[in-house]
Amino acid sequence: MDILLHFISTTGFAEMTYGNFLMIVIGIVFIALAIIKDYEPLLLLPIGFGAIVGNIPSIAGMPLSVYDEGSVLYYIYFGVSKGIFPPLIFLGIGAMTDFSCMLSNPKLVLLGAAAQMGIFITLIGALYLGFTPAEAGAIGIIGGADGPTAIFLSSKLAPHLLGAIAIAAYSYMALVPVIQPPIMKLMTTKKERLIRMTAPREVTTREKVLFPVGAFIITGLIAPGSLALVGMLFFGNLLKESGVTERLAETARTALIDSVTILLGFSVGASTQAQTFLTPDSLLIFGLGAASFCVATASGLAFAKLMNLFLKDKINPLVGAAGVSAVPDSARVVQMVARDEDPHNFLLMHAMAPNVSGVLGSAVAAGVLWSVLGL
Amino acid sequence: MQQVLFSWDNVVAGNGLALSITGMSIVFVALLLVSIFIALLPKLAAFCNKIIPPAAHHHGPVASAPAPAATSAGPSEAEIVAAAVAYLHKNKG
Repeated sequence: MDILLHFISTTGFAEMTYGNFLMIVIGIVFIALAIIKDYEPLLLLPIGFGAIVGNIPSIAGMPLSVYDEGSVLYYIYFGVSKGIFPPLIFLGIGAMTDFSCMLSNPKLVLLGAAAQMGIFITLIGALYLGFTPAEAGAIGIIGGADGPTAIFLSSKLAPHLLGAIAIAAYSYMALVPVIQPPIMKLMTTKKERLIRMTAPREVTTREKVLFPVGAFIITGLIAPGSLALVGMLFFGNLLKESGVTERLAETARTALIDSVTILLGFSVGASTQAQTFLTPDSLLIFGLGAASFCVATASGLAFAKLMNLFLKDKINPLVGAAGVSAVPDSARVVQMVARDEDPHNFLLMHAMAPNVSGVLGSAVAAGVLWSVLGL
Repeated sequence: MQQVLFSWDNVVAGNGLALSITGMSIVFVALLLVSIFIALLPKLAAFCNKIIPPAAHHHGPVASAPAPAATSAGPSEAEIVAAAVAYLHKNKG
């Protein structure tokens, strides 16, 4: 009988707290959103299941959770806590990204920069709320709308906030189709939403090969802190565009990125133990994250409207909203909103330009913040 | 987070404004330079094409397309015989 009672005392039921229960429910909601609503299923499903795994109470003395040195989950989480997974994901993104849309219309690159305003305004907001500069930098990067970049920077600047920042970043990325359209409609007129853009020009293979090398040298020299992210992004793209390493590019954009996404999503989810995750800080981070997405979207739209004051060949300001780097969801949202007004207006390829430049911009911003706040 | 104290003094103490303006400027400069580089890419590509023509590249699409084997080897003996027989048959009468 004593053995049975002792066993019962070590089960998850005995150790379960309300917080754990709440996090398990949140994990189930994530899984439901992924399956039913198709919101970022590749991320929300692993994160949701990881959250359930991470909130089954551990047995005292047994290394089970991501925070227990020596546990299996600890070693999987190592790739997150040391910032190893994000550059590998960037390698895959580079190997699957066609920069033609950006190369055919270079002025749209600036929209990707404008949308990074969300990062720096959120940084000010986080400082105002009492976070330290390093924490504020890590929270601000949520506005970059780029999960791997958010994980990378928070692992360097504020590892204790990594779980909350990662979950906030991925949650809002999944909610891009919900968050962005009202802001886009609010900030643009019907006439602006109807603007048709000229078809992008043909880009030669030689240009596509030269681009990753040149662009990496420029961004790497300006923000060396972003070397790991930007380097892997452009390396992956060179593998794709060179035409001589198709096998490597294929692996990077399929098997490698899928494996890393599984490990990253699952271990980030498993790091959301109620004891470390359900804190007032997390609530503030979620609030700031939502604000940063809104500011980033609004900044991109406003800058596109500003550019139109000087351009002969007008751009549809909706593409500015794609400057947040949630690839390709925000570009899809632009296409969706534009087609609501005019079913024959195809903005997807144009929106991909600020979208991919947004990835670059948020990686550069992360490099800058790491250089300034991490030393 | 050290303390839950909402105050603008935190922003001033953390150099928040300077940090944000500097950071934003660096991101803009970086992407502006990338944008200029992209605008110059067609000229750069044309210059590279003069030095190393795409067809000369041993992995280039032109070079990599294998020539049909039959062209270099010519028609086989059986094909020549068949053609000759057909010719004779046609002109027999």
